[in-house]
Amino acid sequence: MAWAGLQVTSIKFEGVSESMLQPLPGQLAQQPKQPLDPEKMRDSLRRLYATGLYQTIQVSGARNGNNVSLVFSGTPQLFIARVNIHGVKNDRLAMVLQSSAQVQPGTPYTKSKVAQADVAVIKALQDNGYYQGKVSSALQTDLPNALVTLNYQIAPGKPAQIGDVSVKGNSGMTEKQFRKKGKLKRNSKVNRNTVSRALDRLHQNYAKQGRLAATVSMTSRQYVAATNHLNYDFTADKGPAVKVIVEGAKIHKDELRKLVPIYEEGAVDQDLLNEGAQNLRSYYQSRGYFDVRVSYSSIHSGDQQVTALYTVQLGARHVVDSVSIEGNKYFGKDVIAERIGVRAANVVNHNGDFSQQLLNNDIASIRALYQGSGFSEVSVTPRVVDSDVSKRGKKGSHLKITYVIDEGPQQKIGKYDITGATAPQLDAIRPYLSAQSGQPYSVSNLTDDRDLVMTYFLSQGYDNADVELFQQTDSADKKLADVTMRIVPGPQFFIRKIVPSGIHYTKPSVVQDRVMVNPGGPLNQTALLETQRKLYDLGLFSEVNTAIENPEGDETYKNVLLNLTEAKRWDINYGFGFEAQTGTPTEGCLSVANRILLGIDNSYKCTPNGHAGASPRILFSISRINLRGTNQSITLKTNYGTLEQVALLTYQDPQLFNWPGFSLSLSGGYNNSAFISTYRAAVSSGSLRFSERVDKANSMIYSFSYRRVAVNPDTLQVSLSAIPLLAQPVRVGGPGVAWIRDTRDDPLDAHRGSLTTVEQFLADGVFGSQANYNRIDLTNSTYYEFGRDHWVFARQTRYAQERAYGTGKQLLIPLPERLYAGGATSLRGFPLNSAGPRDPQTGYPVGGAGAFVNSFELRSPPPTLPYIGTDLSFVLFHDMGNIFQSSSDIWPSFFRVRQPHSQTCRDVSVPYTDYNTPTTCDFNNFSHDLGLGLRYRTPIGPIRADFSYNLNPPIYPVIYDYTTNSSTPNPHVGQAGQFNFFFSIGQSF
Amino acid sequence: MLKAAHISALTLLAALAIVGLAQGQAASGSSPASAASSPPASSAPVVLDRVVAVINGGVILESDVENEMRFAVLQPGRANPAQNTQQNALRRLIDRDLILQQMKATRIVKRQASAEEIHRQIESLRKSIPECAQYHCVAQAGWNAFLAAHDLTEEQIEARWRQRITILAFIQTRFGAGVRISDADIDQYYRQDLVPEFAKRHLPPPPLGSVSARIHEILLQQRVNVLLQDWLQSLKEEGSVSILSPAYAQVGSAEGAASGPGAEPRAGPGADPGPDPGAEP
Repeated sequence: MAWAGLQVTSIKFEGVSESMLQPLPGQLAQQPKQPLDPEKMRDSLRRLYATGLYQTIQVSGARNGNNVSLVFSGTPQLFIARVNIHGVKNDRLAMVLQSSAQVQPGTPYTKSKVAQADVAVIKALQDNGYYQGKVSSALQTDLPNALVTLNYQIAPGKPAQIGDVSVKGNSGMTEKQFRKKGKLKRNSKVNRNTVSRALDRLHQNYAKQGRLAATVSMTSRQYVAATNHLNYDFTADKGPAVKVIVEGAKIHKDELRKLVPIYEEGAVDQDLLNEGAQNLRSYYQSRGYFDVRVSYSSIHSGDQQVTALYTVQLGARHVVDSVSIEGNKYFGKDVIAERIGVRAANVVNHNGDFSQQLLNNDIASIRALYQGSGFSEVSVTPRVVDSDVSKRGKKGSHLKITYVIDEGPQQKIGKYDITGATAPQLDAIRPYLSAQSGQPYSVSNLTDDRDLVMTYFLSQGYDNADVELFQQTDSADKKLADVTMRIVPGPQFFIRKIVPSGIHYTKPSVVQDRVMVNPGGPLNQTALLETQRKLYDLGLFSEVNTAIENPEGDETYKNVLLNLTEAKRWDINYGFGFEAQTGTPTEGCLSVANRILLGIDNSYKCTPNGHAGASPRILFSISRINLRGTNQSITLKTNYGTLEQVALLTYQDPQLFNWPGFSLSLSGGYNNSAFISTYRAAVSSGSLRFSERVDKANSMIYSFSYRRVAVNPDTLQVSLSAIPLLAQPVRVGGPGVAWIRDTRDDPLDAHRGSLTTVEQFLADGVFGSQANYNRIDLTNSTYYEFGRDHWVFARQTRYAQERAYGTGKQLLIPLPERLYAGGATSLRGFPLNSAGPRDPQTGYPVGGAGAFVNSFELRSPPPTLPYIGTDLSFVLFHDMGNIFQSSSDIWPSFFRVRQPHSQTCRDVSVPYTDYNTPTTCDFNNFSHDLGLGLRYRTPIGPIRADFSYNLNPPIYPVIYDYTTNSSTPNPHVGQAGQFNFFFSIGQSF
Repeated sequence: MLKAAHISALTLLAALAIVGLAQGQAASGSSPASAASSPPASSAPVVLDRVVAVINGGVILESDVENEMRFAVLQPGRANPAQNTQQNALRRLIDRDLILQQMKATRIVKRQASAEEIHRQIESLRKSIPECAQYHCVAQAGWNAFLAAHDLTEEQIEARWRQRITILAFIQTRFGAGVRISDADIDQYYRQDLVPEFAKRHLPPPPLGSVSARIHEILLQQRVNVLLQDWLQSLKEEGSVSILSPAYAQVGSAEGAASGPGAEPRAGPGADPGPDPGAEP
């Protein structure tokens, strides 16, 4: 080069600014104030291009005597920011179109990419049935950030309709039948599933006819613009009728369909027949025929019929009596047992599980367990003893399996070296490593270490880091394994800028507070994931995507794209539900006086125990999120059913003043409910709640509530003299505090952990309350999982008390504010809220001031059942406790199972017209009930049905219950029902 | 009888026609500005170098093309200097880059040539380059003069030859192992190609037995060349080969057709045509 050796006075950068290139200019091979070296100049040109920031680049020089100034110039590369779809109302279609463009945010922009995206979007529109759609695209550039946004304006037009359908081949049906079976009705709207649904239905139709080898395919489709119709051409061949016969054993045809895959695959070939044979073998083995043999053949009768014949030789039916482990020292039997698939017979599985395959798998699992802890020479030998008589003298084929383990010597880690990391990096990593020199050699510990080191480097911006582990037996001592972890960090990348997009209503500060990476900091992928999670948690965005601009380029500083799509601010939900149970309050029980006034005849019935029935309900809610650009929201929920009518307006601020863990809720509403047969109450309330998330398990709630409770006198089923007092509306208000500690593994269906709640509420005249009382309510639930089959023992204990104070009416706690128990989630021996004291005249439950309820549940693992599979499980439960007039009555009643003074409860000769007349009939004993529950697993929690039997239902006098036409005329002795059932969703506790 | 030198030249020609000479990355380049004239003492900016092509992320500079053109003088059997064009040089560089990228990706153990082997081959080269005749390249002084006249150095030649040997060994391993030359193939070549060639020169043809080994080598190289060409074509189609400068637009594969300066330059389908420099999206 002629200019080689000239002094370079300056180097400038054009097209891409020097600031964008930093710190590369200082690292280039050719530097100013140095002689021009052609090789260095070429190397610099390559390095600059490798940043990915240039579409084209050149270096030019201007000479001045023996000096030269260089300029590296080029066209800057632009990158894709995002793809926006406008004009499509259907969110799902908009997402499909967006993803069909196949343009990754952050990647280099090219014209061909956009052209391909245009074609892909049009094709996706057509695939979804829109052939008249108009698509126009526009590019929006952000030159300072080198970004391009693709905006598609789409007018989908009318969806195409199904036109002509032609069928070639030996389909065995007319075109009309073909259309009908495939749901290809003329003029029906076309969508993305039209063809696949048609093919599925036609295959199913052929399968019903036994034509399992039928073939159906769409060969072509043509769009007719004039009529907006899509014409289809299909080819179909019905194929031969296929019959599957099993000889030598019985099997239900539905089970056979599940096991033999030719039904599902719609073909008959050797692989499928072989798979069917294996499935049948496993099926019969699971039923105790451990020696079963299954062979198959296919018989062709011309072109019309194919018969797949499975010949089964069951052999003797075995029972696995026991499975044991011997020779283990390092691992306990329970640890090893978890890995064993061979199982002894039990209540749920009468034969146990055994097969050669299971045995081999168990041996491999146990060996892997030991080898993972350094026992490289472990051997596992199964000993299978087959006898004709069981331990208890039962005849039959009985197996006793023993796994004999010879652990061998345990290898330990010798040297543990880490190479490739700097000293500060090693200091950061070492405290968290699991494996240590001298410890037993554990593959899982070493892989954990590798993952930890990899995560560390990724979090430091080393996106291309590579970590490998090498192990070598120590030559001097074979019991030692020397381990080397080799780290190749690669280049480190940093963040230049964070570029958010898609924010229209949300305040930028709300987003910014949740971004876990900073400009200038390392490109931390873990922090980017955390950012994504926090932004989703806001509930303001339907999509949150992060992308790195120029991901393949070498530039040290990169922009991070934060592409957000705001969720719809208004949300409407509606639904329908129901509960079924005993003790449903009879709607609108009227007093005698009112019935006479209203002219209602004597056939009218009410009963203190309510009735068995279903209570439907309709739900409607409307909410507005993104209030004032933040994650505050306001929601109106309404609920209308026979038991309850509710309207509640709630304002929520999930992060009060941006304090992490603090939230605010302000609500007010109206509630008209009949949760007990005794009365219906209307409550107008308002409350203010501060919630504090102390840590993962603990939360505190600080509240102030104010409400007006009014019992409808026309529905009040108590002594006549008590009605005026108890029907008066009462204002109740005051502060409350609650502590919640939740360590359950799954709130919907817990297997481990506990839930504790402690609530304290004080109603006092200082706060405007007309009744003064203090309420404490403590509940503790524990869940304990045991056994290999994962049985769960659950317990819930509740203690609550109310203490009234003051004078006169202040001492009267309104009926709706009292303590109640009974129903699906507490004492299941009683209908809803019906436990405890009863009105001395009518016998209706009136609640109390003391509550103690304890429930035990033994929850079984789901057995394998026909048709249902493993979705149904069983529960045995025992509930005990009661509601007491005073909390001081609780402990003396603990061991009392019989109702005290029950003779006086049977004495109906005393009218007790005066509510204040003392009575010796009381309910101060602990009620006990036993029951059986079914739990059917669903994605939203188990559906439950509980059947309970009350062992000691209380009796009570009924002097007058406002019913005249009854098989039990007044006065009479009433008794709570012994049988109850409840049907709802979720576990009872 | 075919002379050993002629056989070697044919072998060299077959391989070098595809592989080309060692690329410009290893050599110091000549300026893309004309080497014949020196710029004035104070001058308007002059483009010293630029990126002309991108091959799967790797770049080819204009100086690489110029180097490749300079090294073409070492290509034996070069008949027409008019064929030593920028487009042909770029084509060879693209092919070589693709091969080097594949060599790196497949992690085949690379054959390293010894100093003696390189020296031996360069000695043979000095005797076979047509232009060397006027410089008496067999003598060191003549060789030095030849190199100086073409702005080349001994070290550059050695470096290139070392890479060339490694590449040829890779090609042989990758493609040669699967090629089988039968006796019938040798016999056919002898009767259809070699005997007529001698007949034209009114010379008696050598016995088949004495030249069958050389014929085997020639046929092997021919078939390897075909496989190599197909392989390179598929690499271009599957990878990303972008020609950024319209001046090199006519670089192409077998179907590369000449197109006007306004047409999008392409080396094969599947690659990006590249943006217009300075154009807004």
